[in-house]
Amino acid sequence: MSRILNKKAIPRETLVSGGGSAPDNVQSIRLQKWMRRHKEGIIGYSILSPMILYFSIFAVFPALFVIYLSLTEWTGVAGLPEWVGIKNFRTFFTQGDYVETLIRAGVYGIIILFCSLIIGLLIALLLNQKVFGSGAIRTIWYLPVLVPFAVVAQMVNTLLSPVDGVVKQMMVRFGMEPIVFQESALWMSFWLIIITVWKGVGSTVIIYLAGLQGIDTTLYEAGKVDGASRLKIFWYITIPCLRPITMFLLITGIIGSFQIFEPVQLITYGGPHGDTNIILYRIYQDAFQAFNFGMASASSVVVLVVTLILSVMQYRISQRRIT
Amino acid sequence: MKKSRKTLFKWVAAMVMVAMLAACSTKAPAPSTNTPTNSVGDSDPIRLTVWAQPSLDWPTNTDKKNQDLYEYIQGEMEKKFPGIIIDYVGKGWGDDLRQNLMLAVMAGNPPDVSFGEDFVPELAKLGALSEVPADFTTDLADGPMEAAKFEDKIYAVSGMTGIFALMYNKDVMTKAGLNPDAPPQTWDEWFEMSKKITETGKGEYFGSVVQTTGLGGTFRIAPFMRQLGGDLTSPDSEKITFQSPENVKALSFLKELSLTAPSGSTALNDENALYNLVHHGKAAFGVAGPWHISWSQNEKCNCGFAPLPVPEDGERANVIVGNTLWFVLKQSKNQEAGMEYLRIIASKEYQEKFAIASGRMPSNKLAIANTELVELVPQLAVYGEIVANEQAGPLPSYPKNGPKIWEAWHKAQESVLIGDKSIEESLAEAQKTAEDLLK
Repeated sequence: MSRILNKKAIPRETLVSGGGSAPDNVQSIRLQKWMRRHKEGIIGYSILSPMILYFSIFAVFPALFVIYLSLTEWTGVAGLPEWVGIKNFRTFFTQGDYVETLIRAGVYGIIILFCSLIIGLLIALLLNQKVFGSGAIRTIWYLPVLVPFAVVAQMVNTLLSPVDGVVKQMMVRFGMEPIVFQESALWMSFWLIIITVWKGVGSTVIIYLAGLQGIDTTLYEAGKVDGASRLKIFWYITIPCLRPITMFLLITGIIGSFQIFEPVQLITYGGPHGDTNIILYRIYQDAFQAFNFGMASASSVVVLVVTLILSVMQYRISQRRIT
Repeated sequence: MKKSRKTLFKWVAAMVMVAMLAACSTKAPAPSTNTPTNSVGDSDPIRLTVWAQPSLDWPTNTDKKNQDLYEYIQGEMEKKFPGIIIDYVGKGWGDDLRQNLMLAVMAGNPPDVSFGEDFVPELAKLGALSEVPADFTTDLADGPMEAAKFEDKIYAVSGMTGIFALMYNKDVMTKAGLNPDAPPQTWDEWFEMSKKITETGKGEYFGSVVQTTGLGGTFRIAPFMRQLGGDLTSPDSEKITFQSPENVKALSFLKELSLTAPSGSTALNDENALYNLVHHGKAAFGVAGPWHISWSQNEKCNCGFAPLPVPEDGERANVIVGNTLWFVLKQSKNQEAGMEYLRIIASKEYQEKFAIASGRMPSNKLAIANTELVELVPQLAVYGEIVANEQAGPLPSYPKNGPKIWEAWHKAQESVLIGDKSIEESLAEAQKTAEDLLK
């Protein structure tokens, strides 16, 4: 149908002489034919072009630029980037605390991810019960997600202040020896994890809650008819039904685990003596404190590769399990 | 061709920066719509952007003392540039200010004039600063001006300066049964007094506060290393000397002294909170610059100031601190007006007025000699005596990888003074890192 309509659309003048020279006419006809053949594609790309342009400018191009910068030395202020080959990558793997900060980010990320998944699922199960004011309770659980990290950091710094912090005063009141958390890498890591989990668990809860509400209730009824206990129902019905959601949370969580930044920047400052420094904060320090864009870009490329590998692995495993 | 590549890179960098900083950048200054010239008598008044505070507070504070200084500068500027508009913008101090300046230079919209402390050689090396005529600085003291130079050229003028003294809370000393008018003169006396005060205080008050973190900590550690002949680099700044025996000895003393500090205070990052422990009678001693004179008075502290205690086998030495250096950015379109601003800041008249209003130490030698100043702020006499009798210079600036070398040192100083790591081991580790970075 569309072909017939398109045929009709060809102006007659272009098919007869007088509208220009013969080769021009042939070219014009070819162009029109090509346009007709690719009409849908042209319309599709025209609609998509703003998004493609946006994506190219703000994602593809910066990513390519960062890859280029990772092979250079550049302060960003004076002169052009100076090509240094793989020097920055060699520095990453042989000098300073780059690998250490990458591993630390991974360790923090894994702990935070598993704590968030377990706590998130438990809270979602509780919130899935039909109780009075469940909507309000769900909102309360989600509130920390909405609080800016700068505000959270201010609260935490007040709580943990080594001189007159609320926690210290409470410990003294209960006759305990006060702990100077800021002097201990272990304690600061503990607080960093707790704060990040508390701040982010609301999102996990909401996603799990949506998953729980999407499970077909007939499955539970069938389980009950078969005499399965509540634990068995949870284990053999709820958990398998939530697997796609858990996989989604795992993949996004792994990517997110390398993006922990604010609690380090605003609460621990990477301390004590660099023991809570993580890769993203290290990249920030290189880029915007040391103005070493080459090194910051090289670290970013390493993080990108690691995240990509982990995500692909995770995806493959999840696909295998689902099939 | 080279120029077009450079322009292309500027665009590319700007695009990437916009994308990366969209969420985290500080408020950028509004780009100026007019492009004023510097010629006197032009119809449009010049608009000068200054990222600094040349008075006690920002111009929004209507206190007379504060406004007088702004009016003085405005009046002086108007003599050469009638109708000039000066916009004062707050962009922080220290690392925050440095970061903001670098980003503004990178984006091509820096202020006309700014101040700073320890990064003038770094900015000069990048070609971001305009050279200052030598005759502006003839009356400025040599020590503060050392930090304003790069490759023997002058890039800034010192607006005020400072040096460290020992601040002591007389009330705390009295409570501990010590003579409040006899502060310690040697390291041993200082430690013994601190110990006695801590024991007497029984958790209510303590001996000394010891600043351990970041650049503020380094500033307060450096005088003690220098008293023994140590430092962070060799005199020509070419060789790292972190792990010298003198530095080990100085850090050992400070580590021991930190045992008499209020519980948890060694972990404080906040300088205000730390020194308020002395001002509010929770600790007796702290290492303090001249800005503590008015600060302690505002906090109603019965505080005294004395030269820093000296080790038995050492001699008096110090570090230049609170050294406010003013410079004109090369990208500024108002070079002439910017330089005039610097000339006013370096002048005896401005520095005298500022010192009298603030109690801060002028860098202008003619202003320091003003007897009226010492009469009005008697504590400044102690600092004057220190300047006259102690060897002092700024902290070193490294020719390469400066911020990372400082990071290595800060990590070492913190792990020594806060953590349990051995001093020798920490310093050796930092030394190696710094040497690698300097290669």
